[in-house]
Amino acid sequence: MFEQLALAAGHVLQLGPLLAILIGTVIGYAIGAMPGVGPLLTIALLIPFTYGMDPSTAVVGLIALYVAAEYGGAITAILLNTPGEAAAVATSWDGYPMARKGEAAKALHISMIASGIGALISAVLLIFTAVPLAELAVQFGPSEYFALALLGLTLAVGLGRAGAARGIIAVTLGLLLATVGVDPISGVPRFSPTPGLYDGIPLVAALTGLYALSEALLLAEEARRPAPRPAPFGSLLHFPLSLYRGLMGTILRSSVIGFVVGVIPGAGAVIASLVAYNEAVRTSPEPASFGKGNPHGVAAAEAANNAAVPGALAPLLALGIPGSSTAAVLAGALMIQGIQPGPLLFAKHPEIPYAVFASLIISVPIMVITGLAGARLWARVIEVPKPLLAAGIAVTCLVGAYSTTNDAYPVYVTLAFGLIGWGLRKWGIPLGPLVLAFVLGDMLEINFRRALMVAQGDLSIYLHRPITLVLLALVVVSLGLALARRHRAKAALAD
Amino acid sequence: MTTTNANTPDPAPRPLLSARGARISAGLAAAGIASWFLWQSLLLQGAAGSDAVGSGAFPGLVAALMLLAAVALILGIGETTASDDAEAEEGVSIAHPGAVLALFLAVVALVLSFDRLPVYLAIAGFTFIVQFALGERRWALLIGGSIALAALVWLLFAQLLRVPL
Repeated sequence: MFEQLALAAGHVLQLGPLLAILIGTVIGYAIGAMPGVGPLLTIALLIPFTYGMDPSTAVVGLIALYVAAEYGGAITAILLNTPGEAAAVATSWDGYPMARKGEAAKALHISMIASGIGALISAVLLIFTAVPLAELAVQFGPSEYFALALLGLTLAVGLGRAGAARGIIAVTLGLLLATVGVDPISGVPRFSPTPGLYDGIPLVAALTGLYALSEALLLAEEARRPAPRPAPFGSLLHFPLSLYRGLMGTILRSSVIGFVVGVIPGAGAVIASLVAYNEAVRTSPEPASFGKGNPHGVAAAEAANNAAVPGALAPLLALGIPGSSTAAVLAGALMIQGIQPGPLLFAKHPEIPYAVFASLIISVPIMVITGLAGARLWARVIEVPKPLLAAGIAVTCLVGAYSTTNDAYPVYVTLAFGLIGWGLRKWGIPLGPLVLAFVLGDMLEINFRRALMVAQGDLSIYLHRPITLVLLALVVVSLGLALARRHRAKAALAD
Repeated sequence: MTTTNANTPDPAPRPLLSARGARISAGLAAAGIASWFLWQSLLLQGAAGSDAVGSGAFPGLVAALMLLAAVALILGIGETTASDDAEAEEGVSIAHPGAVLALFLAVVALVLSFDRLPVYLAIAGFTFIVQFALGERRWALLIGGSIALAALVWLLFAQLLRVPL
């Protein structure tokens, strides 16, 4: 393992991948700072740019972007009380009060260092868990894979913020969209009114439409609002290490929480930051000071949401199950390069997972230094006029979709999915579970049918294999927990 | 007639649909989609004959589940208030329907112009129109932004990615 890691580190330290890391980091910061434009949308928009790249360089750049964009949301959360993305909401609870007390630079410094440490610790945990997990998963048969994918989708619905019915509609819609095209087992065309759909719905075109074009349409609604101006703050490069003496416990604990929560499909950075923040409040001798500018609140939220990034990559690399919507889009980026994430990835393309490991370790220091040096610039990104931003996103979507096959068909798909995505968001149907299901659809169906074919249609096959049984039991447990959570929420509302 | 000043925050938009209306319309749309997939799956399954796990088996099961969820949504089962989702709780509202429509129509026009107009001219024109439609009135940004975006597309896609635009 360490030999492979050293080889990958050698590759990542070459000019091309280093440049990809640097560009990914800068774009990640710049776009992550814009409210509503998070890592997911950015990766979806930039996938077409990775076509011509060597797959490992492409994935290295996208990972750097993912980590930096996850942090970028904190900048505006601290300076403007406007989180760049949902995972930075908990950061604003103490970050913004710190900024109002004149401690903006200190809050930004803590958030950046905590993010860096969180991502680094989580990267190490990823390395030590993904490889054994992949070795275990190689022994999985169709029934185990089916149960695993089902567990991922159940967790995505159960942990989502939407109601149960909306979550199930999102997942089932994603699965049905994945079945469009020629049936991979029998070769029969399904749900395809035109031959253009026989190859299925183009993943990248659909994702850019769902996330990016729909975001442009949402931006159009608020384009007339004036852009806020962040308060000025001093240099971030001169802070004593003693600042972190009391914070290290919080950062370390939150990093581990972030990784563990990130591994759970559907949980992601938002829940990670909330759990870590609650834990910081619970273990603090001064819980009342949280929400009023306690640096531990900033450190906990930021360490956890960045630690969730490598966490979300663990099930993707080892099992082929994305841990978050962004990881699902990243899976799409790998799939269009002809690389299927999952346990066989370590055998067929070991350079990819090890490049991910190495890039996480190498990109984090670059991210921290770039972040500290350019904080004032990232803070100004929010001043980009929204009409220009909306036009820019729309153009990048359409030209990006065109560049996937150099013809107009994917552009029409992007246009259609842009409208669908906008409608789904307006009507409160969550996009995350839909995308997760769309990416996992093939895996779920093929393994479901293969397992049944092996058993000659006998459904009890799912009860005869111990790992399948355990995974299905976890499906039932996760459903039960989700129902209990909703019941408690309903009871609390009634009170 | 009142005009919106570019520097004043918008008042809260009037909801297009109430939370209940949003829930029912979303449920009906989902039920329609699920029914079509279910019907097609049954046809596929019928064509597969005695094969219990034919082409229609999996999508049929999924569509049936979606239909159940759609009915549950219409009846309001499994929702907390409307849902935990703030957007859905408030129903459906569009702050500036004209702006959204203008952007969408401009996007459609851009797509249709791809094979008919020089692409960079189309992109610059699109950017200008979209910015203007969304309330931008600063000429430097209208013209400069349009040229800059077209130049950026040329640089990134045509030069770096070698996409024949």
